[in-house]
Amino acid sequence: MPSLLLVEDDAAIRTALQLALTRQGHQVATAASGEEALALYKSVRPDLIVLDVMLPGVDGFEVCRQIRRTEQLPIILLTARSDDIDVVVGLESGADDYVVKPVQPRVLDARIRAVLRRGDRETSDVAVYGDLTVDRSAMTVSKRGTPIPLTPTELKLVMELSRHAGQALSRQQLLRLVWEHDYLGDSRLVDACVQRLRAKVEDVPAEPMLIKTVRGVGYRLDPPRA
Amino acid sequence: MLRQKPPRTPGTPKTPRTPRPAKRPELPRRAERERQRHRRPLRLTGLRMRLLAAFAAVALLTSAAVTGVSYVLTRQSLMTRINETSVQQFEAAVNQYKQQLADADADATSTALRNLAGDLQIAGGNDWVVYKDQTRLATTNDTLSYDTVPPSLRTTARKGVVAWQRAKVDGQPFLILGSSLEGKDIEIYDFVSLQPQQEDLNRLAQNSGIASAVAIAISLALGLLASRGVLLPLRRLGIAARRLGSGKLDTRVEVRGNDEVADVSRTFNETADALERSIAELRSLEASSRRFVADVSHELRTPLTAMTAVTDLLEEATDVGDESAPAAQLIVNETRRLARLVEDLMEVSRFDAGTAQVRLEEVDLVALVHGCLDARGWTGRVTLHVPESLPIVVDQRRIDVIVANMVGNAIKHGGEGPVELFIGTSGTNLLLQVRDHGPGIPKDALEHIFERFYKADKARGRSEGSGLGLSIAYENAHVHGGELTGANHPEGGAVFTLRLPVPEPGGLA
Repeated sequence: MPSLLLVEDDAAIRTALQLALTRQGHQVATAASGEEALALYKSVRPDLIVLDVMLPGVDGFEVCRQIRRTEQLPIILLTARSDDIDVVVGLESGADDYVVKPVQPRVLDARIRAVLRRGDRETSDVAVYGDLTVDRSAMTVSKRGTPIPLTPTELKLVMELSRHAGQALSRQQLLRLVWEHDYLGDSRLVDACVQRLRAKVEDVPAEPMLIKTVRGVGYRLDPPRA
Repeated sequence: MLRQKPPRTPGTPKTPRTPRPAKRPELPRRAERERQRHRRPLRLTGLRMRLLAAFAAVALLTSAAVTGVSYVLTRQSLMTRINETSVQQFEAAVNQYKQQLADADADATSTALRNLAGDLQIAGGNDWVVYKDQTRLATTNDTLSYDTVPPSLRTTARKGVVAWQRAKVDGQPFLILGSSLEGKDIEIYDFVSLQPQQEDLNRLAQNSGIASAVAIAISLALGLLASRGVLLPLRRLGIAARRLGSGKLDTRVEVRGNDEVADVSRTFNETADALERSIAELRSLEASSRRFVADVSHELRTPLTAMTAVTDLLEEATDVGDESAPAAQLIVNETRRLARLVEDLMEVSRFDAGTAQVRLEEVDLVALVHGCLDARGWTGRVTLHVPESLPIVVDQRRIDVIVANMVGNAIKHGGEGPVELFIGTSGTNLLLQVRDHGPGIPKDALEHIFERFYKADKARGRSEGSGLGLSIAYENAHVHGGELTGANHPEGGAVFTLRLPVPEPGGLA
């Protein structure tokens, strides 16, 4: 049973979401503030955090940033559509996905499951891209022999790019493959995740040698060089 | 000079962040037209022409009067002087020879007279003629005949006094002096040419003319200056009034001096102040009422989010047959309706506040339409007449909202007939049309269909939608620089058309 940490300051929404998510088969711990969440996530060790953006005191972005410093666990943001700019800030602070309020529990559940599936192992082989080694069966990525800590979403993204090495994947394709979003998926999710991934695997993130941007299309991981 | 106060926007509600406001299509170059209206041709009945004419008339009259009077006076004094001098000379000469002539015999007389004439000519430079019994005895000029002397002068001269008269001889002005010697029937006439005086007078007239022309030119220049002094403030007032009328409420004019124009300028500024104040009040009232709607929707959203989260639970928790099931179902349905309504209200508030954001992305319009229909389970209900694919740069969420509204309306009001969706281009525009085969839109409803909460069918007071769907779709088309129109097809059924401008290639930032 996946365990979740739900961070939401409004008691009614917190209770309602806890009820709904428990009903969907999750084990839900709750926190009412950013401070509580930061104190709690180390003891609860959740598989995923559902994080409201608008929190009093330490806000959702800050919580996200602080957790990301040490942990690769998935984070889904709860955001309001009117705060469109929040999405960008949220993705930059390291969130894996976001759900717009008012939250449909079914949508939230689908997103949670999609994120959790990203850690599933695949039966495949090892591919080498320069200094980078992608082990698709062990689900590890290492650079010059040193394992790189990746969030499940980053891992899934690198796996999909590696599966289609040398082939450009559009943002919409990646949204379907990695995020399992419908046709209205937000391409900024892809861009933000690619940025984070480049920061971890590229020598010079501003001049990527591995994950290339294909103008007007999307992204491409170059095949292993002989 | 027009002066502008720093712009104030009382209508903009405070937002914590400053998102990019929705782009509105630019109005046709209104400023250009305004400017052209300012440039008017010089009117003959205009104030400027009237002022100039008045100045010129005054200058003309004054210089004419001055020139005329001075001409007359000069002429008079010139003539008087020449008369006096000539008469003195004449008298002196006549007296000098009078004695000689009185004693002389006929021959001597003739010689003396010739001498007299010669002497006088040498002395005064004039022509002399001496007659006896109307016969010329002596002359300095052969062309002068007895008839040249005016008869009235002859009559007076014959009386023995010195007489004079001005007359023209061969077109030249002369002062003719005459006298007679008693008992000898000898008449003496002296022709003094007035040509030099006439030339002097002509020069005077000529110079006066030049002076008058200069005076008129100067007065016209002064008139122009004066008319500028009056007309420029008037023109500024006119321009300022037009600016004020076109909505630039911070327009003021500079008040200069303390004349009538300054009074009008001051009144203008006070009026503009008052206008700006009341418009600002109205705007802030409108803004606060809009903010109220936005705030209410926002406040409603939090409890609604909680309620929405548990609707699924409630739906599943009540068993069929349980008498509380319909009640639970009602709450579930109404909660969803309420949530939709609040979302729509918030969207409308964003359009009103100008904070609606357009996130442009290159998408395939055809794929988007397929996705939109699929997601709502409408694929089987709609006949598509669309190309294979059509890349377009839009905010896909907003276009999805528009298409869903168009198709949703067609399905709801179109009866059982097929719903058709066309995608095509027209010039630089992309057209997306949805046609149903229902009863169409009532004539009196056509112009209201995009109004908020407008319902064509009053009997059906409540429908599934929020009543904001079409108006949101309309605004969504508008923020893309396009438009959404509704009409009735000539063969029946309603047709909604979405027109989107096709951006130039590479328009995606």
